[in-house]
Amino acid sequence: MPGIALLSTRALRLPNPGLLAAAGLAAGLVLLPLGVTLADAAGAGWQMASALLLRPLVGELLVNTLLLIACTAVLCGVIGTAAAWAVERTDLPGKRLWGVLAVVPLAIPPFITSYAWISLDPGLENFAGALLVVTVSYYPLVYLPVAAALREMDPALEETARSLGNSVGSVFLRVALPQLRPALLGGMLLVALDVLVEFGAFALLRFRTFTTAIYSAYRAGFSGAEPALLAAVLLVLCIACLAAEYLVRGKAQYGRLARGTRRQAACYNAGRWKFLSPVGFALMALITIGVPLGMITYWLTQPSYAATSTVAYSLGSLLAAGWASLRLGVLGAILTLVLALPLGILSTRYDGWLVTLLERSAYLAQSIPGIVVALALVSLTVHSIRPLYQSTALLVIAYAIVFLPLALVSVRSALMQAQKRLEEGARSLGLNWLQVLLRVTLPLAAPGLGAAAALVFIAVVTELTATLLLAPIGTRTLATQIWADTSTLAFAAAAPYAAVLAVVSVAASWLLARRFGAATVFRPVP
Amino acid sequence: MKRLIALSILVAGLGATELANAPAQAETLTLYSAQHSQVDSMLTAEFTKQTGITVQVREGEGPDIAAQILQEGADSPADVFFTENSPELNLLDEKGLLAPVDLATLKQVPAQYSAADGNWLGVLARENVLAYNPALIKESALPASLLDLAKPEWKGKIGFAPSDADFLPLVSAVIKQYGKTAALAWLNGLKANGIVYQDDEGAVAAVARGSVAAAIINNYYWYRLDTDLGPAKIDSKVYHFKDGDVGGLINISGAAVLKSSKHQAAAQKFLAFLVSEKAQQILGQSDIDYEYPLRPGVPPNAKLTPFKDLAPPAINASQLGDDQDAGALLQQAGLI
Amino acid sequence: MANLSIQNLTKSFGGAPLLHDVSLTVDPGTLIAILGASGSGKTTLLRLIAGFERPDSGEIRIGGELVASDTICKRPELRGVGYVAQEGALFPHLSVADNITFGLKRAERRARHRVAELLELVGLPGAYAKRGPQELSGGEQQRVALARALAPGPKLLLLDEPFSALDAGLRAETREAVAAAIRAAGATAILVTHDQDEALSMGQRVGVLQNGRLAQISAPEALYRQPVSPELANFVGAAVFFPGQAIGPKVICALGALSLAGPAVHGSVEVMVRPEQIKVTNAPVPGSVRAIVNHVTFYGHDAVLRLAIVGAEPGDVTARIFSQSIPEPGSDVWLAVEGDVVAYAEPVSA
Repeated sequence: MPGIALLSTRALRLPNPGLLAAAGLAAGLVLLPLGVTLADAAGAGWQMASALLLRPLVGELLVNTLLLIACTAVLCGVIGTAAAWAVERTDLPGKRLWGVLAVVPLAIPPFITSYAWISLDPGLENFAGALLVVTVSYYPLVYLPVAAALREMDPALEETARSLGNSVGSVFLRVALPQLRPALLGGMLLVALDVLVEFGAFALLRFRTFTTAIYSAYRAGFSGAEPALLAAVLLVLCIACLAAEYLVRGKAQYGRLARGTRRQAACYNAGRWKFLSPVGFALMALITIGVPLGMITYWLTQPSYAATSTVAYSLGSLLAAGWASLRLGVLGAILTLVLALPLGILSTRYDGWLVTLLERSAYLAQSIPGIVVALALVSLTVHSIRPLYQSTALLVIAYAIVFLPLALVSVRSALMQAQKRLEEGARSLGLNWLQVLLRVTLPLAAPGLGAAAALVFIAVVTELTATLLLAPIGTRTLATQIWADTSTLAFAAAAPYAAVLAVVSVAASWLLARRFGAATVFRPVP
Repeated sequence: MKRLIALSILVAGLGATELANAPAQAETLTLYSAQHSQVDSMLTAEFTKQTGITVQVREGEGPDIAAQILQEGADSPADVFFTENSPELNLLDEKGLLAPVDLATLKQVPAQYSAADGNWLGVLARENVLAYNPALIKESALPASLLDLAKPEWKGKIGFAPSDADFLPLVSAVIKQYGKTAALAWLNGLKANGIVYQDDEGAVAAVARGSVAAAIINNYYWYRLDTDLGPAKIDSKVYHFKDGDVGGLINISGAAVLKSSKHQAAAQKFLAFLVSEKAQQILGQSDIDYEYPLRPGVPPNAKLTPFKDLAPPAINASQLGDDQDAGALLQQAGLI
Repeated sequence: MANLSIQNLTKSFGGAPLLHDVSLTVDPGTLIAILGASGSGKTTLLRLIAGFERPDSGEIRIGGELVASDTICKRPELRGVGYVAQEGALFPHLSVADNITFGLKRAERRARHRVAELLELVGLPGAYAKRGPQELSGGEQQRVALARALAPGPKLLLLDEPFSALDAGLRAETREAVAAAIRAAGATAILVTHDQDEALSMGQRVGVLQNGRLAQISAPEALYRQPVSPELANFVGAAVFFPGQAIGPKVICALGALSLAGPAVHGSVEVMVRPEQIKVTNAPVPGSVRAIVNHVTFYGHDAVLRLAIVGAEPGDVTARIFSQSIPEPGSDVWLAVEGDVVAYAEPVSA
């Protein structure tokens, strides 16, 4: 009975070989693009590599990218923390509404936000525009963890500090902020990572970062090594970000010193901010949500010109693109879940260095930009695995690699729902491992697994980069259609696709968030 | 359990469409195209109507697709490559990947617009121009030569898109006429003066809204923007380089049949179709493409300056060669 | 140090009254314990005094200064009130010394002003100064929290269930240390708790909050011996009730004729006897009544018997006895009451 090990006591037995092989396959798949990229880059040879990497453009990209990251992270940190503090700690009117609106931007793909702004003011094709778009797209990545940390924080800490003579401002600086540091820094690093990986928003803004340069190099195609070399530099930056995030989160999780009854957190009198801060929140909502949705609506009412739209708009083309997105979304979700399940079972039921290694490898995918994955898969299949080249299967595999960490986080928490002691209880009641799996584990984990699949589905439907590079001949998705139309400045032609995409993403995220909580839906961290 | 069944049906359905999408039909051409996709749509629809042969299209930038075909080599799924700039065709020709075009087809267009060795076919032509904003610069202040744009007085006034595939032939032409050193000096001057855009669409739009006084573009981007915004809204103009200056270079949109194609006959048919009267008329009359049909007797869109009034430099498409030197020079100048 | 005076304090939340018309004063240098079940409003009372919440009506004066009324609400940081939270609430990012000096001015913080002295006051070794809060036990954390609250020399010290999170063993020890430190510091303090033993043993006076009202406030012994209502009697400790007839200073009930504490009453009353007042003997003594042992629960230091009085109405009587000589279940014993008992005019509702 090989399945016994699957559900048996942690760490006492080795995982069964089938499970281990399946998990190994998933982890290996993640490492594949890394390996291919490094091999391609190494193939350039020292001289060529130094010539390509030491040219002025790379320096310019590095400055562009790092400056943008630094500014975005700081801006998101300030806005996210201020919003979280206002919602969690003050009596400003309409708190709940503002709290929801502060999260919604995460459901709007950044390239849609980019589309909206660039079509509102084409003058935003610069650093300021890029900073604006990524800040409004990503500040919830700081807001969410900081708000959660504020909710978790023992209210007595702040009360004690006040009774010791500190004003609200001083309490924030001396007590709250130090406790928020892991959440704040972690959120800012996530922002940094997402900015590094972002492609669509910058491509539409015509702002050059590493990802757009890799795409240009791939397009120009003068040498297969050049995009790989740029990708290797980007990978180093991404992995550094991920590692820093990991360290920040692992270290100094103060938590509560003792656990007991949890009281309602303090609610400070917003004073003169009481009417100012709703104005601020409303302005923020207007900028982050109003502009994207408003611009889409505006362009929907404008005639689209055949001269610039990539296909003459028709309901048929919209349906075809919608169907392609739906199909890829479902296939992507299934494959990702199938790959994440063995890893999830392994990491929730077993210990040991091998398990840790496999799990970490999978999470490494967080730091591999979609463009790098796509490039590596093209490079690999065009040379050696020809039947997969330009196939739907390859695109779906790319999705699975990119979104494996996302699925794994949810799969893990779903499997945690089916606690081991419940499984043990069922075994003691005379069920065999299969019956336990079917009657206890899966029913308990099912909602979570469904959520994982839905998350991946949303992510795939809103994915642009890998789709752009890997979509088989003739496949147009909602995302690639928006991209193609917007890059030829055919904003009205892009609008119906953007509308469908935005509605699907926001509605699906909202439903999921209502059922499972915002923290699981938006960029959950392992 | 019901949900499980529903899910299985869904998966099966998705799988079935996957099979249906597989290129199983006998006569399906695979077209790799760097043309604007509305042009592809119009042409392939008409071609299928005439011949019953369906065409599936992979779109991208010319150099991208050329590089892709190079990588794919003998196994390339592409039958026909239809691109906007001749150097990409020259590159593939140098690597021996192109099959000769039917002589009858080649004869439909003037010989100087196709490959000297007859391995690719010229289909359409475009002109390099300056778009300028009269509110920011007078026509009289515009340069006589493209090379003047590297002079210091142009600082901050000129936009260009070095990473657009359409810019490469221009660099190749400058190299051809003035040599690499002069070309590099020109690029460095341009870099110092200019505002870099991601593509010609971005550059022409920037001129129209007044962010930059002038920009180096291919003429059709201006007409497309003009169509899009309407004549009332566009406040920029087109300036033609005169007297055979390199700036007035003609870019050739051309097509070729891949040697590796398994549908040689159908592919040749498609090329013949591209220069047929019907296809050339579609292209010439549409308010979409704004390229000059190369088939004699087919008039271009009435908005365009007549082809005979252009004064391009004396460099033909075969002389222009491939893009490799131009690409290397752009890298050296730190522009890509 | 200054005292506290509260007048007619009322506070409700979302329409539900939390505190109703509470008045109380605390004399300088004394510790008053406020006893209440959860939801009785005791924490609300503390939070109103500390300034974390604003009263609906009534007044709070600290050291004679009006800090809260229906028009005034002085900010907590300006009240000079020390606050020790339920679990200590030490700042996890600061060392013990930094925690203790948290409420001091910057220069004093740098100088580690009074750290050693305060650690000694709460009975902790000086070497603890450098430790992180995570390295301390729950009891030690509470002592540091007290030291931190005392450091700025507050006019009033508020202790919010400071021992409830501790184990039984630690609790007694920490209580003593804290009580000693407060005494040594000469601080005026209010301790709120739901634990009767804690309130009775620590408070120089004890107030009982029931449903937002201050039901009684008196010395611990008086509260235990003469609670003002049967509910209060039950809340402050175990109680046995009998119906009886009061005649002046005496009351006749199933346990015989007992002497009444407090003013004389007449007529039908409910008699309250504490279980430890009932003496159990193997042989009759003067004034004793016969009973049968139904059930014995052994607690170690003592034991609780459930008995039925022969000839009385059916119903158990509970007696708490010294554990050295426990009668067998089923055996006959004699019961006599030691000390005065309390009689209430209203019958106890079931």
